Amino acid sequence: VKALFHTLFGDARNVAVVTALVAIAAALTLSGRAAEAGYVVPPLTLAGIGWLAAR
Amino acid sequence: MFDWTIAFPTFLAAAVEWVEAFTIVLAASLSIGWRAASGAAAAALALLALMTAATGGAVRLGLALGRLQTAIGVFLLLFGVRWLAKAVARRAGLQARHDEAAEFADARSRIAAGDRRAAWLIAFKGVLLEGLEVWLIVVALGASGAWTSSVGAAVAALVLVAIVGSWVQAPLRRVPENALKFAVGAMIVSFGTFWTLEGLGGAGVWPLGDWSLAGLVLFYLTGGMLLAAVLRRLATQEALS
Repeated sequence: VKALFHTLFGDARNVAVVTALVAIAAALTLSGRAAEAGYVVPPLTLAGIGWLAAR
Repeated sequence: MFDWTIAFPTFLAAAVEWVEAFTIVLAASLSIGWRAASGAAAAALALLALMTAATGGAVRLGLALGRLQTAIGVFLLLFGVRWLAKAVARRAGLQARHDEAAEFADARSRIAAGDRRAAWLIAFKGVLLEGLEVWLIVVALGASGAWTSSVGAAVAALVLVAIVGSWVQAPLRRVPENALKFAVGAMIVSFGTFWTLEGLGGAGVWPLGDWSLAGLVLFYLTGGMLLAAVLRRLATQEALS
């Protein structure tokens, strides 16, 4: 079960990064800033990838 | 209609996973023979095929397009972010590159400690776990309507790895796994970002429409390479100080 969970979702850090990204994307789109989301989310995603890679 | 934008990343991702699965089956075959090891692999593949058939239709049932796009996008982000992070870490020298020879030796030592049944189970579990990642990508990318393209690409990758593996009869070490993982990670993160935002905010989120997807792939590829260079430099400075 642990291996299956890890395969589907990754570790806790990975889940935390993606949860934060989705929360930011949802906050931007729900607050009427959908047009800005396309410019904000990709750099934040890359920052999350960098954080994960450094650990 | 066959969709190459779906088939290409699916094929590359599936090829990486099938190479890893083949290494485990090859190690098991040295203990229990090709016939039994192939049987274990076939059993795992049959289970994966059943899962794919069952989930393929179910994913689309009762879900509005926006919610489906968001759900798939989040799954792809969960998967792609981790792949790209791992590839960046390996490129930066912070993590050892995947070594099929070491994987083969590890599987051999696990099998040597067990009996025939254990060897069969190791081959079965190995193919199933590696195949689960393929299943995830096939379902996520195929759910957008390109079912034939994603399933066809995964099967084509399986056939190619099986043919080359049977011919070589050794771990497929020459496959540039990290480069593939880097490219596939960038593509999957791009699909994940694109669909998550489009699902949440509608088509207007992306200034260039579907062409934004190509821009995202380029952004993550170059950004990932820059990240790797920066991380490598920081690690070198830290080692010197």
